[in-house]
Amino acid sequence: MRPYIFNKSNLSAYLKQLDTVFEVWIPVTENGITTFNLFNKQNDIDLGKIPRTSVKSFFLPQHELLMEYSASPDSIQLDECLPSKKRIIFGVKPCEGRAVKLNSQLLVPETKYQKQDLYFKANQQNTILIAYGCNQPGVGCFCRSTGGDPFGKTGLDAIVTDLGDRLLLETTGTEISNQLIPKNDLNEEATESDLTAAEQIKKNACKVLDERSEIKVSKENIHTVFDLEIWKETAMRCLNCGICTYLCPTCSCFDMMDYFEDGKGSQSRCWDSCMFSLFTQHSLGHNPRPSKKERVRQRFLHKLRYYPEHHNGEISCVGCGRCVLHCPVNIDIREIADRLSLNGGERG
Amino acid sequence: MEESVANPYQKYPVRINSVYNETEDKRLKTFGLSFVNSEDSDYFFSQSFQPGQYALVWIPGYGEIPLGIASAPTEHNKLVFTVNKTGKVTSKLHTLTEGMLIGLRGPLGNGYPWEKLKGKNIFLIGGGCAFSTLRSSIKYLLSPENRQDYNDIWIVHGARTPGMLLYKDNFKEWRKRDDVKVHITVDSTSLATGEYHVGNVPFVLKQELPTVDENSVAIVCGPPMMIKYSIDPLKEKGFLPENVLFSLENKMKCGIGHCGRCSIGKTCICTEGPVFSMAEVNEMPDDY
Ligand SMILES: Cc1cc2nc3c(=O)[nH]c(=O)nc-3n(C[C@H](O)[C@H](O)[C@H](O)COP(=O)(O)OP(=O)(O)OC[C@H]3O[C@@H](n4cnc5c(N)ncnc54)[C@H](O)[C@@H]3O)c2cc1C
Ligand code: SF4
Ligand code: FES
Repeated sequence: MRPYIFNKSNLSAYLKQLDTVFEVWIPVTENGITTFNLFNKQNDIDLGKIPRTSVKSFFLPQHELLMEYSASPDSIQLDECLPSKKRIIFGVKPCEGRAVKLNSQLLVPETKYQKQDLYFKANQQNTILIAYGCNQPGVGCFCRSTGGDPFGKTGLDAIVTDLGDRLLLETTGTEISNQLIPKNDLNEEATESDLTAAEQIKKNACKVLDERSEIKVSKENIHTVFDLEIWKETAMRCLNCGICTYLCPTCSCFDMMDYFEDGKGSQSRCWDSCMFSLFTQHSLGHNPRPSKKERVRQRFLHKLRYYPEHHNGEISCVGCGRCVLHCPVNIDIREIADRLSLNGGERG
Repeated sequence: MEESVANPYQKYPVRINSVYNETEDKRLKTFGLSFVNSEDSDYFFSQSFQPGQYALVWIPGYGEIPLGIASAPTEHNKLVFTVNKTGKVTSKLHTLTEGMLIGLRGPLGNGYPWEKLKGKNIFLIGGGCAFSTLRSSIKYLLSPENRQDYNDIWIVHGARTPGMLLYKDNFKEWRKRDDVKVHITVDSTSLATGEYHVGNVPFVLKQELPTVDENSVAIVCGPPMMIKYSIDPLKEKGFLPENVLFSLENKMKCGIGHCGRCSIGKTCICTEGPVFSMAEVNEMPDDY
């Protein structure tokens, strides 16, 4: 099937078509910060920027109800709160689709010996991602260094390429993606020359990104990697603020908590961070990661070493650059990866 | 197939049948529980529950905590936990009384490798609330259906004072048997009765254990210091690193490998453990 093409001025009309079937979310910039907002006539879509928060919020929300219950000393009634709202997120970056896939490998594993997170799974089934490919990768972007692509389709239902005055829309063949086909007078197939133009845009974007060095997985003995000077050096700068983990589209650690009042309660979870000392501190006071050094090391080794060891060498970083851009002390995962790969790194 | 779609956060209601103060400092209580619904009980016990596994015990409004299961699968539908009062959930648990309902999910993690241990001499060494899974193991090993599958069985249990020793009724029974060697020790006592040794667990290991070969396995559960100082005596007696088993403890929330906090290096304690051999622990980076 050929991709579709429509004038940029018709984007709003296309979103309205989608909006009749699904709830539609789009990136909107307010006070200089881009986040996903519900589509309505008032807000202006801003496709140029990398949204500050990633689509992680739609799959593993910052705060999510797991169970609601009523409980007394002699009765307990639990109800699971599985999400059911269908929605489209329009204008995500292609790297976000990969991030969803990486988290899905952890939370909804396919082997039947591992447990499935039904909340993440439901969110995955209910959330449709339409990406806006990256003609001009951002300064912090390095998706190609992590195995991604500025026009990659992994984890997406459709992707849009910006041809200047027109938008080329390509569905990816997922079950739901045929419901994304533009209707009525927006339903026009792209021509051969549109496709050639799109190819050229993709090539240019890749060229920029390919100048940024590849991230390699260190295979050095873990005891040696643990003792590298780099952890001490990085910890001296790191504030343990956790911004990197909250903005990261693949960081998925969470805490669980209970609320209870007048016989009714709920169990929920919220984002947590390996950068915080309470993350691992035992009840009796012992802490396996007592200082910033151990916590910084955990974050980077989890992404660049432990995750790949469980998932065929894939690192759990998609190169969106959020942590690079927003770390208050400019800690850069690319520099850390470079230093690690000096110590026997290889890919896959 | 059914199992793969079950919500791993769903909990079974369980009723508290008994509460028993184990120790003189009143910090350790043992709870006897039973399932409210027989299908939950059937499911739990049909999950090939093995001594060494743990469960997440939930108090509505307070939270969930991992606790080693102190009862054995051979005790037929009975659940026992021994709880050290430390923080929010354990303190609340200590206030609960018979008849009350709480929640539970599990069994979780891997038990001791019972199939592989068949035919071996087994040394169960421990103290404190971590002895819970050893109680489960001893009950299992000494049950008529399993005893003949294992060779010599030794138990070493230590505490600070006689009043801190656990499972006194069980130990009375076990000491009466001639197919298990029981050594109990206390750090100090004013009334030496000959019933126990005086000295810490590592000291008793040095003094009482025979020299062993590759057919002997030690399962060691206790406070970190006890474990640390037991390693050398065990090595001296001839235990191989792969034949010394520990149950590791890390802070846990989800219990299913998802929340990310219990890991040591690439190893997830809640799903790949909590049982590991000394050989495996030696491979782990120093992050525990
Ligand atoms: C596999 C395993 C088996 C265990 N078996 C037993 C047992 O048989 N008896 C016993 O008394 N204790 C056992 N523990 C320790 C017990 O889980 C903690 O003491 C308990 O979680 C403390 O909870 P709290 O709410 O009272 O403490 P708080 O300090 O208020 O802790 C807050 C929360 O952090 C988590 N947490 C804190 N410390 C620990 C810890 N050491 N381990 C795991 N999670 C923690 C829990 O989710 C807890 O609710 C075991 C731990 C593990 C990992
Ligand atoms: S954002 Fe930077 S300073 Fe903050 S925790 Fe992450 S690495 Fe450390
Ligand atoms: S307790 Fe959540 S990953 Fe182990």
